[in-house]
Amino acid sequence: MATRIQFENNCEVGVFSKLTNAYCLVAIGGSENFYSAFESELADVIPVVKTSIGGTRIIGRLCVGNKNGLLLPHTTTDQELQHLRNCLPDQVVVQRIDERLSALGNCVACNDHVALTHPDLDKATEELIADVLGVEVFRQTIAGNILVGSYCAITNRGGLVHPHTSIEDLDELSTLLQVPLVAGTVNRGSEVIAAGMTVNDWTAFCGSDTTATELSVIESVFKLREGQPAAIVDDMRKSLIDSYV
Amino acid sequence: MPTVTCNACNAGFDDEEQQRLHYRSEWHRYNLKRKVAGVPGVTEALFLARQTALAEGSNSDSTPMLYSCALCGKEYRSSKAHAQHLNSRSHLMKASQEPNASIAGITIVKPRPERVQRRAPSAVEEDEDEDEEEEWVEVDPSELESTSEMQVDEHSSKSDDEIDEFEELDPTFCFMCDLEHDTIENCMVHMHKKHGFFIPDSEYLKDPNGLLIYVGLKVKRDFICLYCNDRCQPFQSLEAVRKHMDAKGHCKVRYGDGGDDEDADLEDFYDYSSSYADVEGKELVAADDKDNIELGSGGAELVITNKSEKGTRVRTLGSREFIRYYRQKPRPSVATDRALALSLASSYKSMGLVTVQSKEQVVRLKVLRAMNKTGVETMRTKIGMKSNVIRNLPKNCPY
Repeated sequence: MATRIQFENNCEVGVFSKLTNAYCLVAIGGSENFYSAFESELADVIPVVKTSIGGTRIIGRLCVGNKNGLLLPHTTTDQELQHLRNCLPDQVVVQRIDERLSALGNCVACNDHVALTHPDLDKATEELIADVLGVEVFRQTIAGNILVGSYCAITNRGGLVHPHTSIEDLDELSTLLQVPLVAGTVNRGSEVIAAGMTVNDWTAFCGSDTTATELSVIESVFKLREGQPAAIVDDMRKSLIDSYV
Repeated sequence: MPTVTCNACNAGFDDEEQQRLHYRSEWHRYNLKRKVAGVPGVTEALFLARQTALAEGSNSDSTPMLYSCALCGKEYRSSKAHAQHLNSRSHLMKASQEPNASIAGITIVKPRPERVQRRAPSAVEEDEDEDEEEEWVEVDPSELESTSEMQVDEHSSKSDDEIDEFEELDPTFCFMCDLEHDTIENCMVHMHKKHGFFIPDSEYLKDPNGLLIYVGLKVKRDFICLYCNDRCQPFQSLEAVRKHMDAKGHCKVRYGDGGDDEDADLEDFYDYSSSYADVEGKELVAADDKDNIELGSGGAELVITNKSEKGTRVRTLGSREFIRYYRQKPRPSVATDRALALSLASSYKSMGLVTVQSKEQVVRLKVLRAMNKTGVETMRTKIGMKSNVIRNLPKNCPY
């Protein structure tokens, strides 16, 4: 289900966290409220890691990852890299990228199978994304915006894109990603989708400014209400077995 | 009917594999950027044509050409501008007035010269055109000659490095600007006037040649500043150390100031035996007379001051503990070097310099070093601590 939270009176929770199907990263805050909200929802399933990237707390906008890997910008320090490698599961490959567009979370939007990237990304970085994350890389724009990672949020079950996306683009992206897409907003009309929310296959976290109407759109498109005990057992057997072992 | 499409490129595909291949192509990236800029996409044929045009454009830009009209005497940087000139009124009027039709069609095309100064060509005939070409060709040999001259300079600079360093260090050469002089005196005068370099205590100098060679080697071979000495790292080149010494005023030796940072190696070139005073007569002083007696150098010396009608005489008596230092007498100097040193001292006096006799300071410096080793200061401190104890206490006070 979707949960409303905020990070130190800031509703852009996607900036300070990164949620995938295998792990969750949260920023180091002055209090434990932000971390506790994630811990209460996810502690039984996936590890919740407190970290910083390059000494900053905007980790959701600097890194990109899925269940197969995690890509960090070149500003990441060696201690942070080692800390992440120690805390994340073994099958998650943690890699540092030497890319001039260092805000990887703004340039790449991905689920476990497909990734949309910034049109100006290097070819070497594109190949690295395909190798580490195990995805198929497509260069695409969202409603005329090149920051594809900021204006859409996609999982293996659905996706939410910029509200000004046309129907033709929506159909094209839906065909490309093989998931249903819908145009919507978060945080009371903000079109920066990925900054206002973070989502994986069975749960989502939105800013506290998100209205009930926006929340219902999010829950329906990502199929979050279908997260019943039976569905969890059936669909996420592998994740559960990994966690218990 | 295509099932999958690309909206940016307005293209349809039969299956998803073709769509995926299309998304990796440069055409798709080009249209994505146009879409972001709000411009409609281009077709694949047009995109390929533009790529070909760009490739041809880059090839043609590799060799810039200069187009000049022989009839009008004008030059143009591109063929289009030249073609436009051929259709202009001025060219057509001159062409109609020219009786010889062959000259009107002459176009001189040659590579654009970059280094040679541009000359304004005037209206010329065919013969003058050939002359211009010859003049243009003649510039190259001079450039080649200048290049060979630079190579010769490099050879000479390399051969200079192989010269023996000791032979190069002639004392009559100034080590700051390599200016040659006839004698050492002239070199010293030059160094004092131009660079502010002088030799302290020149009247006691016994080996001026050795001193100058030592100083020159220090600067030219070791790249060490004379004043900074070991306190800073050696410089990386002779020019760097010379600039440093000139900029900071360090063109002098650290000697004769009485400080701890003196260059001890320079003492080998000096002889202070002639400055020792001959004391005649002995005098016993009563212990009560304290006006004339002082303790000097931290208690290791006795200073006696006698005031008489003729004048004041001061004598310093050293402790027997340091007699080995007071008895030091360097070997006597050579007569010729002595004369040279005296001439240096006289030239310094004529230039207004005053050389300070630092014999006492040198001796006291050595005595102080020995005292630090033996710990005289520590002994005095202990005596002071002992004297602080109060001994005559009343009987009813145990401590």
